[in-house]
Amino acid sequence: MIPLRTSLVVFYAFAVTLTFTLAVGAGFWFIRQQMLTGNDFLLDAESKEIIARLDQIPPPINATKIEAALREHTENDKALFYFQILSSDSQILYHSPNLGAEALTNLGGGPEKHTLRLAPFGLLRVAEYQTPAAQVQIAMSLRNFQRINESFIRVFLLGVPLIMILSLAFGMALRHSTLRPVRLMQSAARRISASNLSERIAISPGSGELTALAGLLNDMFDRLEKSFNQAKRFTADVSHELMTPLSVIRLHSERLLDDPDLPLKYRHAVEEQLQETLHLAQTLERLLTLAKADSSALPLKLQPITVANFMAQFAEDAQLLAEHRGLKTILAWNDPGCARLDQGWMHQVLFNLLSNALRFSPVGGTITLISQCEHGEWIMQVSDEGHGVPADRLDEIFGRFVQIVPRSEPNSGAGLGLAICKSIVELHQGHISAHNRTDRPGLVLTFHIPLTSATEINPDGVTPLL
Amino acid sequence: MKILLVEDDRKIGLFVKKGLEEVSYTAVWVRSLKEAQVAAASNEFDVIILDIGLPDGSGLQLLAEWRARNLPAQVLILSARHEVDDKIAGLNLGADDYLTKPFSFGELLARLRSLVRRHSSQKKTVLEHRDLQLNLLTRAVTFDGAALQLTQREFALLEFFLHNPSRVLTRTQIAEKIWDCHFDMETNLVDVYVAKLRGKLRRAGEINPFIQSVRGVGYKLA
Repeated sequence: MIPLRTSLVVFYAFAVTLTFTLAVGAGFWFIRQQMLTGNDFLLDAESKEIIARLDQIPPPINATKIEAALREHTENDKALFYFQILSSDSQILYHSPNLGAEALTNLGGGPEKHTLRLAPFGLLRVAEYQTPAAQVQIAMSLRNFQRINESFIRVFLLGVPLIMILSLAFGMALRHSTLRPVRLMQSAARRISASNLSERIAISPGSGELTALAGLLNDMFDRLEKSFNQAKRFTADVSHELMTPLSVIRLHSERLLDDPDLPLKYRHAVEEQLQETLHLAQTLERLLTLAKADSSALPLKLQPITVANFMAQFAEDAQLLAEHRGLKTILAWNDPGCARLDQGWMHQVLFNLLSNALRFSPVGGTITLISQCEHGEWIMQVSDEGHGVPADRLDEIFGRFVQIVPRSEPNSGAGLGLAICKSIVELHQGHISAHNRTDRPGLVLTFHIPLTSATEINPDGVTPLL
Repeated sequence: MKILLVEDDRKIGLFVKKGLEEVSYTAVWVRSLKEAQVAAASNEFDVIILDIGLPDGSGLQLLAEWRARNLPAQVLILSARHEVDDKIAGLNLGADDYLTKPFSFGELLARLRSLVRRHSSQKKTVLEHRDLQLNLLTRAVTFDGAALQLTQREFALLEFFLHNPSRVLTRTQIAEKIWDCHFDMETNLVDVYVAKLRGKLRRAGEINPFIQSVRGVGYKLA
């Protein structure tokens, strides 16, 4: 789609130039018609006089008699008119001196006037009149007419580009003032985020279309704010109502475990109870995170971060953790790119992916982590050497409470880790996918997050629309 | 140490009050915003443990009020993580620490002790403990007279310990400080790092580790 800002200016300039062209063209056409009509009127008037003089010549008519009758008259009008009189058999009987050696073409009679070109005189307007004795031809120079024609073309050739340039300039100024309310709306809408949802677009008084649009947007923000707040209140309430009793259970279990008199047979039960309590709290924590992420109520602190530095830090952790589990790691990342990340949450994503890979790799296996910045994206791949996932279940693994390995196995998590990865990656405008390795059994998890150019980081993270 | 406990839940309130008294702290327990306001007016507390979700309003409101009138007490916020938008919201309002429910009493105690003894070695450029020196400017570490090579993370971890000598640092505290992680990392990363650091700080024939485990809570320098 062509942006409004461009189409508005182009349309404006086009309309102005077209109007100018049409107006000048129509004006010229009108002047031209007027001039020709005036000329023709003069020709008609002149013809009357000539015919009247010819009528006075007693027949038979001949060149000498015509010469005598018209000399004085043609002499007087030589600046304006050219005369030629033909006999009925088209012989030139009279030829006014100002025509010199040239002769006017015989136009074959008829009432219309003709425009012809005769080399020494330029354009001529020629009229023919039939009298019983002879055919009278009177011509007038169209030199003035031609001059006007030429100056029109000059005006047109200079004027059209000038008007085009001027209208473009005016169009831009117009665009600036016309789109100002749109720009204001845009910046207000951009300021409104999860952290200040109560802000609204200022509505200017009046009843214009843009005011109505601002009103509609504000209504939408009202609804958004309501659902945001509901989501936040819900997670807060759930959190408070469930974490408080879990605290009580934890406090008492730990106290029991601190008691040296606790019989061994109970000690195991209490330990298990404590472990399950912590597991429950952790699962709840993750569910609430997902609930917040779903309603975009999870506040992200996005900062421009150099991916290579981020990876260098993570590499140390990854290597150490893998080593601790008796696994090898292959780590690679290429030249720096810069992405807008919430460091804490992105760490969470990497740790979740890593712990997933650690969980499914056999001892002595290798975990491969490859981070690449190319084509405007940060692409991170985590591959393990486990059994992989059946092809028809690959899409499912980012779902909630989905277990890749049966739940009975000791190393199965709550089934929320990858769901959280997906939510967080998506909150970073990225996407995550899974596929099986082709070279050997194993799963590859890949996420893509858009890079920003480090030199022109926009604090809002949005490219300006206008 | 005199502690004001603001907690609406009866069972938690009772438990914590009793626990604090067992380790010889004086604890006053109130259950609402109003009572807390009255109690804190006396300025007699060293630390206030503040629950966010109180029946008559948010504890954050109260915190803002206290900070506005320069209440000298250290404030530790106690809440479920999703009760506040971000724990930063609480810290921005002037809380000194933050503990999420469900919490362990050992961790609460460790954090209370940290709060009281804060303001110690913050401005030094060389941190020392036993025969270990860590230079914050040159990032050089010497142990037992010899230079010690540490990775970035190990350095950060050791620095955190040296800034808090003889104080128990909990796993959550360490994870939050070094990794800026919002919650579980699904891994025992902290333990793995502490173990590695311990290995580097072990002298031949020595049995006592440089960093001690505190069961169920975390670690401390020995």
